[in-house]
Amino acid sequence: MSIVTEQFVSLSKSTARSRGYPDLPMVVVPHPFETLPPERIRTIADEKLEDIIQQIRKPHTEPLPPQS
Amino acid sequence: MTVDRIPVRDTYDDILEAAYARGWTDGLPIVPPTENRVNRMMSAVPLPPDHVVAVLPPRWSDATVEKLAINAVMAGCLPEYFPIIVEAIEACADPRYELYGLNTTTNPVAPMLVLNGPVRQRLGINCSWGVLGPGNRANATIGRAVSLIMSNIAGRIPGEVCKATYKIPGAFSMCVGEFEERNPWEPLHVEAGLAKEQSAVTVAAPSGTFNIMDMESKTPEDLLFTMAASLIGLGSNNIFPFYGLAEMIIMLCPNHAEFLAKSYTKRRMQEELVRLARVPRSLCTPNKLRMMQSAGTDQIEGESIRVAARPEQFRIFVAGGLGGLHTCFFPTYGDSLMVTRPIRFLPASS
Repeated sequence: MSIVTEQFVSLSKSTARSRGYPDLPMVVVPHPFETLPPERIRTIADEKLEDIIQQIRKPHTEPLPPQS
Repeated sequence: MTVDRIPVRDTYDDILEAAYARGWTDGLPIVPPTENRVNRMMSAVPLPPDHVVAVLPPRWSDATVEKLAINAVMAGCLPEYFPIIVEAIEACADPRYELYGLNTTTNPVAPMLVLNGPVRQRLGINCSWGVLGPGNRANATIGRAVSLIMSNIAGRIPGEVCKATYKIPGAFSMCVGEFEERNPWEPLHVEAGLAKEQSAVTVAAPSGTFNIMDMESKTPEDLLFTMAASLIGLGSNNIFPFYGLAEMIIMLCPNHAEFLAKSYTKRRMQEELVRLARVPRSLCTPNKLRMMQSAGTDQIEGESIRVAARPEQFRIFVAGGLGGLHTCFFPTYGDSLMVTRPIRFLPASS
């Protein structure tokens, strides 16, 4: 699974599709991340934790042939 | 042909509008890629049309000879230029060049080609006045072909997957010849282990240009000091915790090169740049310094931060017009390294 900021969702989906994982599980976090204070980042981590665990527990899928 | 044919009314305007409608252009008009023109382009290399030269990210599309030829035609290339484009694209796909990062990063960056060897004379490549500017067919169209290939084959689409905040003007086309005849040291391709008489192409990943003007220095040592001091900027990608490998490209003008050669070999110059190009810790913000320390960079030394820890990170070559005392510094965006390849498919005389 992949954790991406909201500005990079289209790139992440495109890359995942190209590499054969069109349904790659993703958890989206706010953007930009770098300028947030550490407390806010901890809050986001707490908020997203359950979602991340659920996505990780999804069954593993074999890659499809790459699609361009 | 192995790609789709698209019937359009046979007028230039109709063909052009069809190309615009499909997003094939860089915004400027193209030469229509008719079957005859594409076949002529492909005839310049002894490879079948469906031969995959490289697989280009972020779309990971097959860059076949035929697709490369279509883009070369659209860019306005002559068939004689095509062997350079094939080799440049293979170089772009070298893992050291990190093309996925280059085509998707938020940084402003685009491919630049540097040509070496006899191919420069044979194809009339500009190595001198205005080398980065408009006016020369070979430089302009070879660079443009690579740019169109990045968009049309690799999928470098702004916003969707290419997250470049601005991109750079050179993303339209950037191709220069090294002015080897005015290089007092070994040229780029010889540095890469090739024979001087071998034609070669190097791909680089500059993030723009920075002019280093020095008309005042009376010694090579003073001139090199000025150059080192011009490579320093706290917002530089080279003073960033995770880009420790980044190269700094210095395109010396012939007159600066001649003057520096009075004191330096190329290697000695690179070593001196490591020693001289540094930011005092006192000018670095606390968080940047903390991040660089925790990243374990070897750039921090004593009370200063070096912009590069290894001499090889300074990539030096010679090009530009005579008379001026302006050297061009190309910062780079990150961990892309320059890659050099011999140009295999030129006629024997080149």
